[in-house]
Amino acid sequence: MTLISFLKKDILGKVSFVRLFILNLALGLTSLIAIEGLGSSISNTISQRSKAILGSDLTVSARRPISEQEIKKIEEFLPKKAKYAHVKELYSMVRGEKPNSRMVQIKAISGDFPFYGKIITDNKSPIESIKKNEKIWAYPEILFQLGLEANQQLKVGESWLKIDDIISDDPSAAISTQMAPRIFMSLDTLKKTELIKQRSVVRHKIHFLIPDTTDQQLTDIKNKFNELLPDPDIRISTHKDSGEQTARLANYFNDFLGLTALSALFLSIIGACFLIRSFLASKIHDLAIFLSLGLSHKKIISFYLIEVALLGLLAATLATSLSWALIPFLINLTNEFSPFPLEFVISFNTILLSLVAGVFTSVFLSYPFLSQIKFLNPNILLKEKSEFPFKWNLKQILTFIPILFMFFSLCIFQAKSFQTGGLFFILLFASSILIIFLGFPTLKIFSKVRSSHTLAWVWATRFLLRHKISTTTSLMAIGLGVLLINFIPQVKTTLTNEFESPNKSKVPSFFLFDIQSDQMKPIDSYLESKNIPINVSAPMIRAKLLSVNDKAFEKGANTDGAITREEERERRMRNRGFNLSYRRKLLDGEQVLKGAFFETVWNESSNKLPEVSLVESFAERLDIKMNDKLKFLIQGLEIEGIVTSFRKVKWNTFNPNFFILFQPGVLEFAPKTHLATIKVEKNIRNEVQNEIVSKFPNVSIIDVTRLIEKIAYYIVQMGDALRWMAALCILCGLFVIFSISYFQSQKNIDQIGLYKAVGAKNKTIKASYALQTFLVTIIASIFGIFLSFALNFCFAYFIFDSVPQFEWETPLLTLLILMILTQSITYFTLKRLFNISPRNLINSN
Amino acid sequence: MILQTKNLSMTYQQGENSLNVLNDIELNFEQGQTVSITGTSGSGKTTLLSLLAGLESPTSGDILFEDKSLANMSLDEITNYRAKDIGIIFQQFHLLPHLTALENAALPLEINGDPKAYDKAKEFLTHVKLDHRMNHFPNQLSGGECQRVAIARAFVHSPKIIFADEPTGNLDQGTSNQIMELLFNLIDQYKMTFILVTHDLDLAARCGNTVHLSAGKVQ
Repeated sequence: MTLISFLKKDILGKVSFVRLFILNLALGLTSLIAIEGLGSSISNTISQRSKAILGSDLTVSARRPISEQEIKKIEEFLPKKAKYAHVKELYSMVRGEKPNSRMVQIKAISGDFPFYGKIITDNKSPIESIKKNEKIWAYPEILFQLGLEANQQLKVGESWLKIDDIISDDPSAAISTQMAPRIFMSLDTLKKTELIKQRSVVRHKIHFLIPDTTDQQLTDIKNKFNELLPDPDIRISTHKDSGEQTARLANYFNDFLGLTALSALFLSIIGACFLIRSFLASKIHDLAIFLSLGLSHKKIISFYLIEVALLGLLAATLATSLSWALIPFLINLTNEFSPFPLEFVISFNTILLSLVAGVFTSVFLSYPFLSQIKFLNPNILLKEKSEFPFKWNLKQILTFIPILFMFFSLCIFQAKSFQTGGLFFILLFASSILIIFLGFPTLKIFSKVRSSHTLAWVWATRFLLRHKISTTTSLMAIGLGVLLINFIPQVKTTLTNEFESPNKSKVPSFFLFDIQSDQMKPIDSYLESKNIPINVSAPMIRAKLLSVNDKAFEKGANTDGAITREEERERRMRNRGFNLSYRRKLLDGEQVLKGAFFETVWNESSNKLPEVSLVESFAERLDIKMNDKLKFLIQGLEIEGIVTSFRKVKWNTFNPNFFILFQPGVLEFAPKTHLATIKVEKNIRNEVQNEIVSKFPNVSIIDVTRLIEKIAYYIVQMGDALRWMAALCILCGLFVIFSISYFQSQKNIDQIGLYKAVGAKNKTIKASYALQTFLVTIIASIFGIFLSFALNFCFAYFIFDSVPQFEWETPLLTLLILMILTQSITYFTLKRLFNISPRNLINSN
Repeated sequence: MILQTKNLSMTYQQGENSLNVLNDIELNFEQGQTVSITGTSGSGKTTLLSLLAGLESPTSGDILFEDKSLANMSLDEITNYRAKDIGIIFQQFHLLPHLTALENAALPLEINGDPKAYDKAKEFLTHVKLDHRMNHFPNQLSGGECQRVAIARAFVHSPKIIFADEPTGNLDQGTSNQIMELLFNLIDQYKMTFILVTHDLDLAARCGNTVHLSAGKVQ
């Protein structure tokens, strides 16, 4: 008999095991493959749209004007056919003829920009219409919010500009444009608005069209530009970078969905381990027969490994098919976090990955059990009764390393972060262990509750306590599912509460920026006249970090080479300019973690370096330690400081704060702008905003309340989407429960038959099974819920430094639904068994 | 008369075919009587035992236990009959693997709500010389020990009838002899009705009466 025909016969001979094993694994793999498919869809959409997103092949940008000299340097290197166009981006307040005002993002363009992608307007106007005239195009929400119509005028800075057309599709839209909708105008028009003051926050961009270049050539050009323009203030991005940047939120969302999907895979692995173990235990005689016929242990193990590999392949194939149905749904959810619609795609790589994951997961999880065949002695055939000799010595426990390593790698790969992936892996295992270690003692306590010493209760608790493997598997399957499905809404509640009402009375209404130094007094006077105190005001000085301990601070490599999200963040951090500030006191929600905050004003004659205080996470990302010397360039002047303290900042107070603070007495005379936050009563909020806009047209105002609403909206959307994935975990958990019930059928037939034969009533037997399910569900669910509370507490305490908020609706609903589902599973899997006559016990083999 | 069968017939439906396993069986069992039911494979002896033990219902005919018709009993009454009046010893022992020897033996008493279930079960296990193995699980016991636990379980609640289905079928000769010795001693001691299904004629001969079945009929 060939191996294939033998495999076929063997598989067909154990259909129920094969069916459960494949379905179990397929459910876990489905979510993983779907997430991978979602990732491919994001990358594919980005790569197709990236040029339109950027509007060019490559861009050079800075928060200062790019000098003629710098332009000349790169011009020399440009290919002949290349073209470029200047663009400026900034935030500003605008208003219509009515006094209402609104913050917008202004994109002022010139030349042939955009080189790629077309901005489509309601009247299909050509872009030249705004380049040649003092007209603007605006997003429809601006008109809606200000109560305007097309062809009416908008006050931008010092100018009244006519809204020429309304934008219906902007290929370069980003999440930020949902916060501050965009208006397009020409650079000449922008000049006339007089919005750009000396230190206004403006991003100056030069967009390049470099025809007939491959992605690699473009990266080479980017690298060359980086060499030519080493100033960290200057950022150079290709269309690919820009696309990825635009889809950052969608990618982060995908990472977290992926981790939730891994929980489903984890539960599937647990279920599959149970199945393979039970299968081996039931096949002890078949295996002994093979051995007695002269097959070696090694050959039998290899044979079964091939078989489980084949089952893994079949599971992956089924999972790939199922994920086809899931991906469009996930894309729909992710579209909330993507500025452009994602296109559905399943790449060859996704299919290949799923097949490889299916085969290896199946083989690795089965190996610790299959390798135990080596302990089997054929002499058990001569014994009156026998059990599979599972041994769990150290060597045998080590056989779990491949599956653990694989799962750990998947966590890292999925989170694209050693930190997040590793933490997730640890939390998943710690939670499982906690659920088991708390579950069994609880069961023991239940078994000793005297008042509930009914027969069914005693049988149920005894069964659960003595069938440790199936009880452990069930506790984990339900507990982890409940933990995940509850953790997400708990965190959502904490986050929304944190954003909607962080120390409610202290949250500012408006965040004012771009205030010129000479405007501080008049603004202060105006606010005083309205009886509105300034919450916090802070000077902001733009600076360039030249060196750390006299070692030149290098511009980070491209983010496209980054493997993990941490590396991406570190490189982004290196590539940004720095804003400095100074003050003597700590703000609310700010604390010093190391060192001491500034106690005195710096004295030039002291011969000491000025003190610098850094936010700890910022220092970690740039690998800056206490007492390191940092040298900055501020408007041509070099200033060196020494790091004397690390701070922790609570950013969600929405007050201005800075990664880098200088000791007072150093930067007072440096050119700066100011930031300020104010709290305004709701009934005069619009009036105050409009008056500030009219008196100080260059000052921009972020409506913090509206911003919080937007953030809360995203949190809710993200939480809801993640919940779907968590529901899939619950489904996997339930399938594990079903597998256990189903695979224990024979055991249950004997048990039910025997109970009947010794005179137990049907209702007692049924009650004992219902109680088993009830106890496992309630214990696992309660610990799952409490673990979700504990994690939420840690999340709130350590990450947000706030009081966690809990909600009871989801836990109670989960418990109720799970109770119904698990009882239904028990009922349907056991229903037919209750009708089997105990007669089968007589002479049954 | 403790047990009586009247025109007892059993037919199994196998697809479109009917298989008559028992035909018009008329038997009487007296209190304290030991009866062996013998016959070749397929003769219907196991079916007869399962009908007498109330594990299934006949196609036609009736069984009277102490003049009460099993056919007229409700499901609860049949369950009660199994719980209180009979004890069954199986060839495969059929001990619950997650229960200790003591818990297995105490099961019928627990079902009957006896508050001294464990004391009585301990006593009986001592009687069958398993006092040192009471807290062991079935997988830690030998075949002979498992069958002793099964015997203890069958006797512990003092039923009126003991049914045994090939009780030594899974044991070696030496252990078989010991088990049968124990079984007959207990029957003798407790004066119970004993109905033994076996194909071992030597064993059958130890019973006071023998019923031989052939093709579903008493010979």
